Amino acid sequence: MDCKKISEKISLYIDGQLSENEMNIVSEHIKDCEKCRHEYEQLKSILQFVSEEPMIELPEDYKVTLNEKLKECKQEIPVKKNKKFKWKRYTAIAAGLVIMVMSVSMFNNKDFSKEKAVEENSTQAFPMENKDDCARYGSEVAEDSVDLEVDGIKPEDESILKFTGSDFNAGNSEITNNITSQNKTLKSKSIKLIKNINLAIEVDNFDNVIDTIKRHVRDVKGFIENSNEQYVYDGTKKLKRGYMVIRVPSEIVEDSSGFLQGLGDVVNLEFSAKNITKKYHDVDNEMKNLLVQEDRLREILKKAQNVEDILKIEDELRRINTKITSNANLLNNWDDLVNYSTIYLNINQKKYSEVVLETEGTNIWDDAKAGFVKNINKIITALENIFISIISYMPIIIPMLLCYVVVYVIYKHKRKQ
Amino acid sequence: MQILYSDNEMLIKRCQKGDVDAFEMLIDKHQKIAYNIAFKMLNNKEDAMDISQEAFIKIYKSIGKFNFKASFTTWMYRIVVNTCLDFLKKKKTTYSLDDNIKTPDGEIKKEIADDKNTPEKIIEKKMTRQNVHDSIKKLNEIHKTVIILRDIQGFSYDEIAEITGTSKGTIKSRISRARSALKQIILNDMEQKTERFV
Repeated sequence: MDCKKISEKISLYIDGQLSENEMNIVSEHIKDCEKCRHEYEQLKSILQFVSEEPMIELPEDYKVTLNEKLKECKQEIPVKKNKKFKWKRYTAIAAGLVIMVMSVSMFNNKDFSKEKAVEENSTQAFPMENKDDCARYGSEVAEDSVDLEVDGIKPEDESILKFTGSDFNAGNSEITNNITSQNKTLKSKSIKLIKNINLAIEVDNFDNVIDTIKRHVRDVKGFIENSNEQYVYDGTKKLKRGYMVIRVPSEIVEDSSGFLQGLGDVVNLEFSAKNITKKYHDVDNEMKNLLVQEDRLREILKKAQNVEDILKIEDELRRINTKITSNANLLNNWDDLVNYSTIYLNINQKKYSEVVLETEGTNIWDDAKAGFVKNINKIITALENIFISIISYMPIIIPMLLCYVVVYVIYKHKRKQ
Repeated sequence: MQILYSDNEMLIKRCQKGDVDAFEMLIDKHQKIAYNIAFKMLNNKEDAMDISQEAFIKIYKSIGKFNFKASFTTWMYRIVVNTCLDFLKKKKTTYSLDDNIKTPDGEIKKEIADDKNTPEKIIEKKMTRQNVHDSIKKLNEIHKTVIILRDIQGFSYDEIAEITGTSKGTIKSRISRARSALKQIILNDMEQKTERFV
């Protein structure tokens, strides 16, 4: 190494900051080179002077004044932080919550109104069907109704009593009693009535109600002719809908209906009773006549001599038999319908488990209260839905988060490089 | 040393909760050093007191951010040095390497001579302590800082690198150059004095 390079390394040599090799080289060089050695010693003595100067003492009031300043700033920090801290955050959180709740509840609201329309349509479908049947029967009754005052019962005793939900909530028991008393008077004169009830109810706990209904039907010794269940998805909630055709002994059909109404909120109730007494008796009489005829024919058959006569009589017999059979079938059918009344039951699951407010009058305050409670329920339901959504989207969110974390880590790693 | 380190840790944690007494214990032995660094950098006792205390207050306020990864001491002195440098920037009393030195007789240009160490330039004169320390004042901030840290206060190369926030390699060259500059100032100074007397 030449003197120039040595000169550059003198400073580091003095501090021992050269590699072992370089330290040796410099050391060897300055042994021999007077100029460089002089430079080395010069720098060394300069640094010696620099390091020797003693430090000056702290001023007397240094620690005290510092202490005061520290205490001052200690008081500043906590107060300021708190003041700044809360304000923004809380407003942001509050605003976020309000927006969320409002949007979810509006979303819920929309669906709800759609649902109701569908419901109403389906329940209305019912009375239509029945009315067609009624019309048919009605016309037949009307044709035969020339001399009709049988035991003081008038022909138009096809009584259809119809009630909608709102009427019902108000005067529940009263109406049931009316039907029951009416039917009791009719029954006592041994007339044949085919009773049908259309009932639509809204319930909270669908499965429980179904079980209760089944138990009840068993208890009253009725039977379920037909039933089905289906699911409808309303937003994230699964709402069940059921339809049942229940046959119960006609004596207790009103009681049964009352029981069923009590299981939920009644949306629609229709009661109809068709009086087939006259028809029944007519057919019954006809059958009796036919039986008599049949007997007579059999007797004649015994006395018959030639084949021609026998054939004729057998023909006649066959004809009568057919008629008897069909009459018997008809009577049996009617017996069945009369003895076992039919309840057509629609069960829907309630969307909101609402607080039942029996609003007697429609004054503003009650409506306001009802509306208020309703909206609180909606908020609760909305929060429930949010919670459900969060959890149901978890399987999607977690992998996404993992991806983000991985990408972030890689990004940071690259940055470091 | 192990025990000291964990004591420090405890104290720091107390400081983070706002304990002023703990803070004072923590900085106790550093106050004099910080004051002296400030004095050497600012050349004024009042300024030294104000600025060094300002630095301590900054340290106290931001101790919550100390993440225990680096050494507390170097972190602390970094704030001290930076506070001094900020103050100097405001005052704008800087001597750059190529500035002219003002003397009563007029200006004389000083040069950084790396290749001028010919025998003629080597002057055997008595250097006084006063010479040396006056010369330090004439260094620029960057060189002054490293001379103060290395040669006056005796911090290691690694510590200085942490305090200034640069690499060790940078510090090595910086110290070499600073010392070179200092030597040149001293030689020039002595030349002048010699000339005057001759």
